[in-house]
Amino acid sequence: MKKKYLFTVIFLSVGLCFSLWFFFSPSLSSKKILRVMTYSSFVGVFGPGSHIQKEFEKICDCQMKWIKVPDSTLFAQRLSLKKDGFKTDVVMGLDQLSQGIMTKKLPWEKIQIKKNILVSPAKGFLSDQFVPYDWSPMSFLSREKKEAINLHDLLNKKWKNKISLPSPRTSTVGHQFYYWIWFVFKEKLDDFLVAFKDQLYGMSPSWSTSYALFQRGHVSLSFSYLSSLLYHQQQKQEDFYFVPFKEGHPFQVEMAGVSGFCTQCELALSFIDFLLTPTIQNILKRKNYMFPVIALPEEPSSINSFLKVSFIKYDELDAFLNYKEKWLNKWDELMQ
Amino acid sequence: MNIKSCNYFSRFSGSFGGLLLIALTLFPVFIFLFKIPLLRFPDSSLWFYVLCSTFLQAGLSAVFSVLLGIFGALGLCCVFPKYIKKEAVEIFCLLPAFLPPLVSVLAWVNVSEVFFHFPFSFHSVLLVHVLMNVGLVSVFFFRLFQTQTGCLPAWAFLHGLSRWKFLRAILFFEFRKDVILIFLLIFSFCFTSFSVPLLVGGVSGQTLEVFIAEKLKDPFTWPEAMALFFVETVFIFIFFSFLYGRKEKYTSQKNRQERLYLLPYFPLIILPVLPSLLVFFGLGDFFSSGKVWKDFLLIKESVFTAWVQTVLVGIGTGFCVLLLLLSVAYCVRDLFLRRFLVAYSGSSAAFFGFAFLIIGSDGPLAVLLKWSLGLGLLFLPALYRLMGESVLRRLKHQVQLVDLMGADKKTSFIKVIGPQCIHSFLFLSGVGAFWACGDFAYSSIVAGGQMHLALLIQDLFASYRFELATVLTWILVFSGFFCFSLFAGVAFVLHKKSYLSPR
Repeated sequence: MKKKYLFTVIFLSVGLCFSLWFFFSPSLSSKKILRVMTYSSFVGVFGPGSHIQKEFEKICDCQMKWIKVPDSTLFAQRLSLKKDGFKTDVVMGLDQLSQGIMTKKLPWEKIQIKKNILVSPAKGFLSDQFVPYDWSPMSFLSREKKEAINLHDLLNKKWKNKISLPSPRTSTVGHQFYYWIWFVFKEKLDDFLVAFKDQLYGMSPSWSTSYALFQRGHVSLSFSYLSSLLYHQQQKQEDFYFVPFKEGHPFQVEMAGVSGFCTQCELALSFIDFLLTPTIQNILKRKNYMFPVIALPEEPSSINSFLKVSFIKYDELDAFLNYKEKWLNKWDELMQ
Repeated sequence: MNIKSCNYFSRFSGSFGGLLLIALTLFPVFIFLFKIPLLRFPDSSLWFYVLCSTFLQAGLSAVFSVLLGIFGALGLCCVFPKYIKKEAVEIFCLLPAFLPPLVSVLAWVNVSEVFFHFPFSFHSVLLVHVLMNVGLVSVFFFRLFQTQTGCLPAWAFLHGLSRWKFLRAILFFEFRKDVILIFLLIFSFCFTSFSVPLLVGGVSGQTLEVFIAEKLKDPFTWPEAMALFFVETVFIFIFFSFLYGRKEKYTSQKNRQERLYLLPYFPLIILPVLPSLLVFFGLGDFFSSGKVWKDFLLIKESVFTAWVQTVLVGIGTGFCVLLLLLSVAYCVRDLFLRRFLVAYSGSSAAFFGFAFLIIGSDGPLAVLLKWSLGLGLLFLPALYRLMGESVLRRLKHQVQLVDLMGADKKTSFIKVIGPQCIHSFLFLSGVGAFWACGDFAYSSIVAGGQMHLALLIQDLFASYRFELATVLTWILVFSGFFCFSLFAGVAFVLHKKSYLSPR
């Protein structure tokens, strides 16, 4: 009987060890490891993560390891789960709304980047802790071409149950939308939200779910990026349009920073520099479908005209973010 | 050492080992208890709303599953062994309950998208739970009708009772305790379900388990997560303790195959069979799209890496399950441990995930070990209830005899208990390995940057790339089956050898 046990144990152990060896042997090399925390779709199968990794590993004599977090709203929590912050060197995917909280809650290394290499409006958000690496204006996308409208026009009956939006609690895109209407309506925010609730087809946990509802034709309007049109251009889908708003548009600037928990701080700083090279900016444009933050040779495109739409200001961010939980609770209350 | 002292020693060491195992299965709770100063309930009334909505969801899911399942069982009574094997039909009906939720859900969403847009909401959670459980309930009652109705149907038939009157006045009354039993089982399953609300719940379908997971994401709200976890655990312990008390009845009954007369009603067979049929239709859907293969080629490298990791996690989990089950068998005399494993519904996947995330190293090997051990511990109670307890219960008299003869614990395990358990335990490990291949809820927390087929599928699913997700689901199912076959194959070989070897 002992032989049988021995057989079982040996069989399973050999199988396991072989698989372990096979799978992990590349990572047993003595190269430095750069740990980069980012949101999951960035390193998803269609995201730019693997391309950036390939390019950086060509020049750094190091290995990159991604730390995936479901959404960038969760970076702060994930970093504070462990005392060593999972030895994260770089955090990628912060935006204007999450940057403030991150600065208050966690330690960051100082970064020096020349401001004049960045284009507007991204350069306005360069600090000695965070560096913008891509950006895009935001608005609703539609399948019909529209003239400029007001936010109040969204309450039109024809769009009842026809609008998709990611939740501001779980998605930075939803959060941007909330800041937008908060900025525009101020005291009248409650009235707008109560009426707007009926227009929503449903609130999705993430931007990708919300936008997919639009792509599949279940809704007529979806809050998204202007740069989403780059994807549709690439796919030769012509019937997607950006809806201009008279009140101005929010925009998202994605930023990266070197975490205070870094173990490869020098490498992390060189990675940040690397993000601003034309090669990576092109990858971000083609694979992340966001606009570059440095001036690249312009390709003629109908989308470029929209880059000149008016933008809302982000100078009241503190007033919004200091009471973030209060605003989110209000959202939950009114949308339930 | 005399017999009395030997037994005493065995009991003592059994309890010690048992306590260790219990501590291991509860270890996430200890981790968080150690890290938080005091339990605290969330400030807003949202948690109470979520608790009520979870109760409603679990209650309605259980009611619909049981009702439809009972009627489905009447349909199954029409399966005549002459034409088709009963076991084959039963396995077919049990598929949705056995397959990883990701696989079944994706297939059902695929089918629904042909007719209407699948709503991601509270109702979808309800629908998916019913579809998953109706086959299980049908098979449960089908077996019950076959073995426990005795001559009631024949008696009712002779007295000219109508089918409905017989069902209402006699059968439902006779089996009311079984109805309550299966209702509680399904209720508990739906109450603690994590994967389904995560997949199809959207924003409105939040359950207590998902709410706890949200609270665990931020160290500041860990005390709230713990408080809610205790609320959930108290409910589940009550339900399962009730189940354990009732279980003996069925094993002691003598099987009696009777002619069922009034019971069979053929059209009702659609109820338990439909969810499985939809799984097959749904998974076959991708053949229609040509673009999907182009996309697949673009990501083939990622898929290969994910496949290797999936198989690795599957084998690792199977191995952990085997070790854990053998440890339980070693502590076979410890009734408290066995009762605990039956009563314990398994810790919350989110709790396990975050506990493993915050301890130990984040190196690839450490992640793999945490991943496998965590899944093994998560699946242990379910697998133990599935077959483990009945295997150990069968050995009760032999263990008593061995103890009386003065054999020590190690000898009795190696010579008597182990050889008789190993086949079943290897089979259960294979099931654990299969489930591990399809897990995404726990895996998404501990994986870090590692790839896994289930995680790829979930990403694609969330962005409505159903066709590509379906292709990967096939790979996932085959990977799961491969892992299952490894363990089941060894079990089969050992089983055959045990018959061939001289006794």
